[in-house]
Amino acid sequence: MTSSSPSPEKVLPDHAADHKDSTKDERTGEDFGGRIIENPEGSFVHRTTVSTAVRTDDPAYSDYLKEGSCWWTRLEDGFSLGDVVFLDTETTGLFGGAGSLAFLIGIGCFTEKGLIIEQYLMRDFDEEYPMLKSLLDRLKEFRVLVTFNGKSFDWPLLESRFIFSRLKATDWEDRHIDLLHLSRRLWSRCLENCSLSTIEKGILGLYREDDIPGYMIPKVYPEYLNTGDPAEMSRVLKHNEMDIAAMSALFLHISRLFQDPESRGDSFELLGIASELERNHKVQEAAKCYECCIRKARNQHIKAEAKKRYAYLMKRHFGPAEAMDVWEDIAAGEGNMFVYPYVEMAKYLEHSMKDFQKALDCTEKAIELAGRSGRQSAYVKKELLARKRRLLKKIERSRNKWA
Amino acid sequence: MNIDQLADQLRNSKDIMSNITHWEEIEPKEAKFGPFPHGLRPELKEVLQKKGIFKLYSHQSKAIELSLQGKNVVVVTPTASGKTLCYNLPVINEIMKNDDARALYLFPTKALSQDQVSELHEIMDLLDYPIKTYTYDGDTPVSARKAIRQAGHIVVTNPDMLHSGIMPHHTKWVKLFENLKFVVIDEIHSYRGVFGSHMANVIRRLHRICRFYGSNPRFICCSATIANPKELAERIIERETELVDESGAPSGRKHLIFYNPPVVNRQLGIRKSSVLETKKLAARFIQNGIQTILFAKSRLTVEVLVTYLKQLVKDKLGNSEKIRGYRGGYLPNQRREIEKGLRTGDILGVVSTNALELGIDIGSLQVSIMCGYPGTISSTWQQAGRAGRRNDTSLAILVASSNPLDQYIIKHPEFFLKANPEQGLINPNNLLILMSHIKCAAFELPFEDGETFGIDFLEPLLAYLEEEKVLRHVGSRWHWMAENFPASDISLRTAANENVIIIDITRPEHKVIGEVDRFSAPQLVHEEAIYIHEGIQYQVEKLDLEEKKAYVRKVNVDYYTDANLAVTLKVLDVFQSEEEGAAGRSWGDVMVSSLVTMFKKIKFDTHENLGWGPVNLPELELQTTAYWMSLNEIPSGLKSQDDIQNGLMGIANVLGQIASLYLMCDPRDINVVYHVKSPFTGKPTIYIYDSSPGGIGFSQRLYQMHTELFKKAKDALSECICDNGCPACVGPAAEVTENGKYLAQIILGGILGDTQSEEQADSLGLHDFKLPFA
Repeated sequence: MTSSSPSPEKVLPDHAADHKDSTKDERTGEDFGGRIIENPEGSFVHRTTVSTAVRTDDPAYSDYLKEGSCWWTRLEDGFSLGDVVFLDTETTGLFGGAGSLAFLIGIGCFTEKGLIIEQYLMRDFDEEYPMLKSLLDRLKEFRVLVTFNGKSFDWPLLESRFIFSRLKATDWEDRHIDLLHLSRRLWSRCLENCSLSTIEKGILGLYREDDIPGYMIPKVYPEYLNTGDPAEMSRVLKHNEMDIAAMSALFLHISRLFQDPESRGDSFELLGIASELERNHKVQEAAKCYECCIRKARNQHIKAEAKKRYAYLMKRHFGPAEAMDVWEDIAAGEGNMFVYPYVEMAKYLEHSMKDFQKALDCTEKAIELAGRSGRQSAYVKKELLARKRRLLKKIERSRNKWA
Repeated sequence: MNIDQLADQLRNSKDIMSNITHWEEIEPKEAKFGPFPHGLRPELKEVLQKKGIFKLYSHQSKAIELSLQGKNVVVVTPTASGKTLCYNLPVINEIMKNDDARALYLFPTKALSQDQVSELHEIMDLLDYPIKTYTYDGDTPVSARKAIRQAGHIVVTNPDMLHSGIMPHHTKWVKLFENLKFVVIDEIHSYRGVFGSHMANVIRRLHRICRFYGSNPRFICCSATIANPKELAERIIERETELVDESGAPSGRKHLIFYNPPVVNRQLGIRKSSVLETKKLAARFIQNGIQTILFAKSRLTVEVLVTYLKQLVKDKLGNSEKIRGYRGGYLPNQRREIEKGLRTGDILGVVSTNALELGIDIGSLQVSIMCGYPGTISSTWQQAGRAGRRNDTSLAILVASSNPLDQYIIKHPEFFLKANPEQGLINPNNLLILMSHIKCAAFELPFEDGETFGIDFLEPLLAYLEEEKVLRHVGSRWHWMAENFPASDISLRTAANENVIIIDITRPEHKVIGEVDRFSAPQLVHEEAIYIHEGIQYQVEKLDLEEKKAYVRKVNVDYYTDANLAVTLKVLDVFQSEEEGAAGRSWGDVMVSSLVTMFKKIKFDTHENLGWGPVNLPELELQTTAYWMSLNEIPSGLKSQDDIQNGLMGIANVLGQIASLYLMCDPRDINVVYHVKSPFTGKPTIYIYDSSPGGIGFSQRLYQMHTELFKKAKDALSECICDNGCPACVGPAAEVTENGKYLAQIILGGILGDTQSEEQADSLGLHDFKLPFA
């Protein structure tokens, strides 16, 4: 799915070993199709690839590179696709802990030429420091980090490694988007799981050939150190490159969905997009997506869920009056078993409209429903009964007042 | 009757006094106070006053003063002398001065850490200063862990968690390690033997991590009375320490009573059962409503005593909750409930293994009865100290069992009262233990060339690990290159993570009722064994060692079971050897295999043997170090192989006990086996081996001691009251045959090159004993 263009730079002969432990000369200048970087801190391999896995030749692509194209995220500072760096690591252990390290770090970014993937590889442990230092310098050029499961795995692991090297890690603050979390919101309702490979096949329609399984990777690196044989390592580099490409493709795909959800998204995606937009304080857009989802959804669960969220959004942002129609709609739905629309209507009627009788009717309906479905918690029932008592008192009082 | 009246009653009872070999009355002691250290903030003084503390005891004052000066301190004072203030005050003082400061508290058990946190919270509440104290252990919810790592001023944990949960993830604990000002190690005396050897290495790793983050914490250690607290603390923390061992705390009058059950058969040297005597003595106190704690040496004895005492207090409804057992196999919430019951007084009597020896707060009990000598002088003081934590009269009674060590102690109370308590011995450089921690340390931080890790032979070990492809030497560093997480494979307490769970299948819904460690399982929960839990009998129906589960069903029988252990020993390597003289000595590596072959059914009360059954379980193997003595010449008094066999058996019986006494270790730390004709030496040989894998240094010490050891054994035999051997010396005459004691003495005489053994035999009254071959 990708083809790496030969690196234009001249391959340097390896003199790194001259000032290193003389017993560790197995790294005979192997460059893995990249370039050996040497600087005063030491050496490492840097490999740059222009990926063709992600199509960037459609006319809309250049729009994504314009400022503010990523408006839909929770980040407010109007960044574009070009400000994003994708990152994925390959590590020596899957269990974490101070002894696990990232021997290969891939980053990717979208430019006018397309998706550029850069890989930082240490050929031995003493190359970690120069590699990390160089990586940090490069990361400073980006405003937003995007990973897949990087919030709990890749980035904390790198942070730990920066501590070892006494380097100050980039502080992304909240400018770190984890695509795993976003993917779960969009597709957990329709995919068996939200692993990157499932999404690749199920959503992006990408297929990998001869991919090395992830659990094998921690074994490859020590093997490479012991034998110096680059063959398996090359497969790991390829794997990492494909991970970055898939992540980038995924981000582009999601961006497209968010640009025009109503025509591009199905009802599952619309629900996810709407809730993501709502989380990101894009209320108007979220409301539109909920409406669209309610229109489109054939699945009754999705429809009901969308209505509920929509109603709460209306209530929260536009006041309870705006939500009344939706509560009524849900309550009137055929075979409705939900208690909450009645509760919400009762609240509104009692506190805003002061129509105690109607509020009481709603409360009684809610009590009846809650009694019918055994699942309602005792707490809900208790609350409802308390509301009923209070309403009866209020009705009584208002009668006396007029009497 | 109150406690003083009961003591008088004991003193006036002729029946009882005839069994008491010694009655030591320890006078009450006045409190000694010291000044409030200048470096402490005045707010702390106010808080103490609110707690009702107006003056500091002299040891508290001195320990705090030293710690404020930046010294490492080890405080050794009795139970309930206010040790915790010795570390809480300097720590809180430091945090109030510098909000970034951090402290790490290490307790040997989870129960102790929970106690500690509640005490700290009490001080914080009075202080009205937001010091965040958290326990961090296996029970800490994952959701709370992040906050603790970031914000906890005082992190309370245990060595196991530090080893496998904190240090391997030190980069998540940057705040703690960068600002670590104090490390508190309480109950440091419990870090002896294998556990202590692990602990010393855990602290070596802690030092490395602190150095990496640029911190250099002070240590405050607390210990119960042992002979070498300063040495032990210095071996564990590998830093110079100041010793504070003069307690200023007051103590009430204490009676320490040595009780030897009466002899029922002098020829066979049989005494009344120590368990039944303990029950009888305990009944006096419990029936008078006096809170009593009983210590038994085995889980089995605990359960037997619980059963007996529950009978005693049962009310008309059969309610006997006033008596409870407390031991390792109980589940944590059950333990908490018992601890609480003791504090509130709802529980009148508790029967415990040494689990309650440590500083778990159970309030003040008045009487402590030890069923059998606890094995070490310091444990005895700890257990006796469980009674009388307040300033009132208390009673501690030691009931001797028939084993040689108990009999030696009960007949030589002066030995007990005058001798130094045991030393805390550790061997951090036991190769197995050391290697485990070098791996963990390398995982945590690459080793630099020239690093020492407390030893001067680190480099060859690192090179070995490189050959094993665990490490990789690049530049000047040794990097971890294996895929696994080494700390998870290493337990600080041997086989502690290998427990067999006991499941009650009496009812359709199965229930876990307890656990036993992997090594005791074949002996305690083999099929058909009677397992007693909380006084209820269960019969084991199935023991699944692979799944580590034993299935038991409630039964009601009048016997308990006791399993026999068969041990074989093979020499692997000899480190040092000397063949000259009557007896040769050596020490080296051995492989010990143990196999449970059969069990006996023993009737309650009468303790008669009701029959036996086979046990079919696989062998357990242990590689360790051993000392052995081989007879170069067979003394002329020995006429046959059987004579040698019986003589050696007798010596083995007495030697195990005597050796532990002079090694100052727990008798369970060593084991004795003998071969009439050893496959290795070709001669009659007695082996004494370390119970822990790899050995922790006893064998070498025994090698140095050699003849001294046999001299003591010989003395013990001469002093024994029996004619032909009894459980208190060479073993019951029935086992070693009627001349076993005589034969043992001949062999010992031979070893010592002693020609007077015949005369000695005469002086012991053996002259009127007709030897079958004389």
